[in-house]
Amino acid sequence: MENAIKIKGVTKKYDAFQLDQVDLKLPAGYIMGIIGENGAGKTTVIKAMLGLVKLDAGQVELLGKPFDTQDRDLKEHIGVVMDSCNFPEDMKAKDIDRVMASCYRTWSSAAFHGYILKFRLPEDKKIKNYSSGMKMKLSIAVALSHDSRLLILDEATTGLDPIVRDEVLEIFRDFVQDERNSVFISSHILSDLEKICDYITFLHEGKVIFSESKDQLLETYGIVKCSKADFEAVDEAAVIACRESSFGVEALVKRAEVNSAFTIDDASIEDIMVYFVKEGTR
Amino acid sequence: MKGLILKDFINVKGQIVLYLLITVLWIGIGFKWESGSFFSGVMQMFAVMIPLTALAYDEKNHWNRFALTMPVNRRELVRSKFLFALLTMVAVGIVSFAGSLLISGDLEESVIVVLYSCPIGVILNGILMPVMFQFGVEKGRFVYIGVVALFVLLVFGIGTSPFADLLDGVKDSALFHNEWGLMGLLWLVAVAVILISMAISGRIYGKKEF
Repeated sequence: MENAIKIKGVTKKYDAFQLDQVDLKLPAGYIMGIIGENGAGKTTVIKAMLGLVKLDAGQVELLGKPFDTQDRDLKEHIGVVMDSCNFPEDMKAKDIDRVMASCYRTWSSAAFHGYILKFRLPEDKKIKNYSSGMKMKLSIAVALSHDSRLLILDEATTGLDPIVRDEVLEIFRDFVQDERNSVFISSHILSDLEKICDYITFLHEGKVIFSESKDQLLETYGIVKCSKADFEAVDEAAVIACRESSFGVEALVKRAEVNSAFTIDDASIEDIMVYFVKEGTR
Repeated sequence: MKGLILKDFINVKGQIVLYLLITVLWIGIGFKWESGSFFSGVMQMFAVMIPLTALAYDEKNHWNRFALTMPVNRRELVRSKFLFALLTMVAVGIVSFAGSLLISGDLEESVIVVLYSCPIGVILNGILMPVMFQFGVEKGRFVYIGVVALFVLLVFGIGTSPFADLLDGVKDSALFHNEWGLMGLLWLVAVAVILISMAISGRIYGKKEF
């Protein structure tokens, strides 16, 4: 299986918003982060992947198979974590075990209890008494306790403190140690994605602005800081967007197209995203 | 399917104490009015309220959106809700029979009263389920209140109106031979309503977007 996720031409129209010809590929064994401002369509992309909304156009392939909502076998291998805990508040971990064992053929109670112990989650407490970090770890434990080959997470780390976020990111790193496993995660916390993602897709107003390897992005783009006068010498085609202040100009540029006389600083994923949005609004 | 029903049971389990208290209150009222049929009739409110409570919890937790990412399809989600409603109706039927027997002390009367009242719970569920699937519990509860109010008006209205005599006439006519004929028709209607309701609910849920 070459790609864990392959979506082509995915289009979904709403009254005030449209997901427009979204293409992306996640090679198996890697982690892709999808970034974008609020309302960019990240959750809609995930819903489109999982058949929760009907597409107006496009195809979705997950784990090398065309996605069909009736394909129970495929769903056995997809673990999903939404932005909130979806389990009833009066449930305890053992209740979740019983419910999930009846829903998943490949459910492993032993694995689930292993994760409960590993994540230090209380077995006898009701979910309503869990903290938000514990609820998220519980959802991840569920996603990992059947034969998941693809984890899909929608804003799963938002609202967690830095320590819990770091623990959760470590879980994902461990998960992809097995090359058959892949992770697709949407998040606002770009520093998290920069830590663990191999690929980044940037979605803006329902369109894919770029979908590339993180290393490629960081090699391609950089930040130039100079005076307005010096900035005149920078080739316009190399500039994605710029920001002027009384101190001078800061611009996101394509490194290869800028004169080597200029000092080009590293750009973070957040810088790239913000400048690309600026370019769109110019 | 078993897991989905277990999840619904866990959702409503916390309210069982409240339901039991209300049941005891209604048994008390039933004793006061010396009416096992009153008790059995009002118990049908639980037959409707409990499945709707389960639906409401699912909405609150965005459970259905998550459930559809599992090896569960939309038809199964709908069927599990109807099955949970059916199990609730059986439990309510048992409690209704026990309560009526306690109040009236008459076994045959208690059986008849329960067999007359249970189809009402089935029909009410059959009417309300598609509405809830289409509009959600938040909007659908107004329909619930309207349907229950209409049912109460109908029951008391028919009992005190000229239609009461007409209904007695129909019941005693050769067409139905006896009480059991009318009851049989009521159950036929209830089964038809619930089967149609399941089909409509399946269609509604099949098109729903999350």
